[in-house]
Amino acid sequence: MKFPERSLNLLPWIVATAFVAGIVHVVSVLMMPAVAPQDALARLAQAANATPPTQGGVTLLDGDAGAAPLPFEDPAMAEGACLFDLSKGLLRVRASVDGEDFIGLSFHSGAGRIFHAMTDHSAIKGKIDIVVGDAKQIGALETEDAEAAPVEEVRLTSPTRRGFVLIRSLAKRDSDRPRALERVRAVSCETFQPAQE
Amino acid sequence: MLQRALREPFATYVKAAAVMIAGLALGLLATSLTLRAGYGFGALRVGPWIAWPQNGGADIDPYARAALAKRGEAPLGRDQGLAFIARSDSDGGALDGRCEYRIVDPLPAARFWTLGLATPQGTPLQSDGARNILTSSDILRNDDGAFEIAVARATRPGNWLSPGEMRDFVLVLRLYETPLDVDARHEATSFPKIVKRDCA
Repeated sequence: MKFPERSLNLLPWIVATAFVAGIVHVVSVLMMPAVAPQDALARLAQAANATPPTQGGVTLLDGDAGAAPLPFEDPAMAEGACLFDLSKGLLRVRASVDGEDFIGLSFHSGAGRIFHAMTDHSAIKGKIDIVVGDAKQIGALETEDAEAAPVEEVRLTSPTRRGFVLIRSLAKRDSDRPRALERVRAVSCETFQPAQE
Repeated sequence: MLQRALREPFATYVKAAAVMIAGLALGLLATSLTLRAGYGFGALRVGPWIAWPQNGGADIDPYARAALAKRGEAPLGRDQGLAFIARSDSDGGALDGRCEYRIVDPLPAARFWTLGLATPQGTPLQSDGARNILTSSDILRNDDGAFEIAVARATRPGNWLSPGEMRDFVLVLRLYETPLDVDARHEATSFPKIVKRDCA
């Protein structure tokens, strides 16, 4: 009779252990995007430091030159990335598409969420023109517009100030790779300040 | 010593400390195990192929975000495409670089697709300078439009992918701009079959 009594005494401690374990589990999962040392943003920042950007401000991620910075990327894609920090101003991404070749832009927040993704199919008149800002910056742009001409750009609100845009351009064949790379080079990312009142 | 510590008045403190340490260890272990297993909930499984459609959407859950951050991945956007990974053949056996496999039709509809090999950690496998990936544009098809892909170390005529010296590898099928309904169940017959041939 001694054994069950003792384990009954331990029961609250076991419940407490499970409770602490549950809290630690949930907190560590929620914290992971903030503390992971080698997340996509950190890897791209390293790549951006190692290689000079193109004229348009895009860091080319060339898988041929050693290890590609991001895992599980398609080797058939020529890729580039633009890192942004909205505290330095808004980001404008421009590209032109030919309607035949796949080019995809995905907008990733610092917390690992894709807040917008598009392909050349959603280009307007063969052009992609996107402005990324935080809620305040986009709000300021919109009040400015009240008097100005209609805008053709797409405006995105980023949930975090830091993040990146990933550009993927498909090389349909091996011989198509230089052209695919050229399409990534033709994308421009520029930081700009909103017009002052 | 321990016996005495547990009998004295500060036994409660010892137990509380033990609870804290055990809870911390168990909680971190649970996190490590769940993140290693996949990307949280919402996997789309079709035969040996697995995709995680919510990784590319704005409705991504905290488990998937944590797993992506830990691995340093930037997934495809949901509107851009969907990546399927196969770690086993159609009979459920793990993929082994010493064996030869055939991948046969059909493929779900997509504007473009690519099929390549990668290490389990996601580094694409390159074979001696040649690009180790097949796309919907450069694949060789039979007269009736069907195709067959050989995965083998030794050279094969036709569509061929090589795992090189790697023993463990995964197959990655990427469907770009696919109308595939991710909420529906799909029959394994609508996805490519991975058939094991002989092993060296």
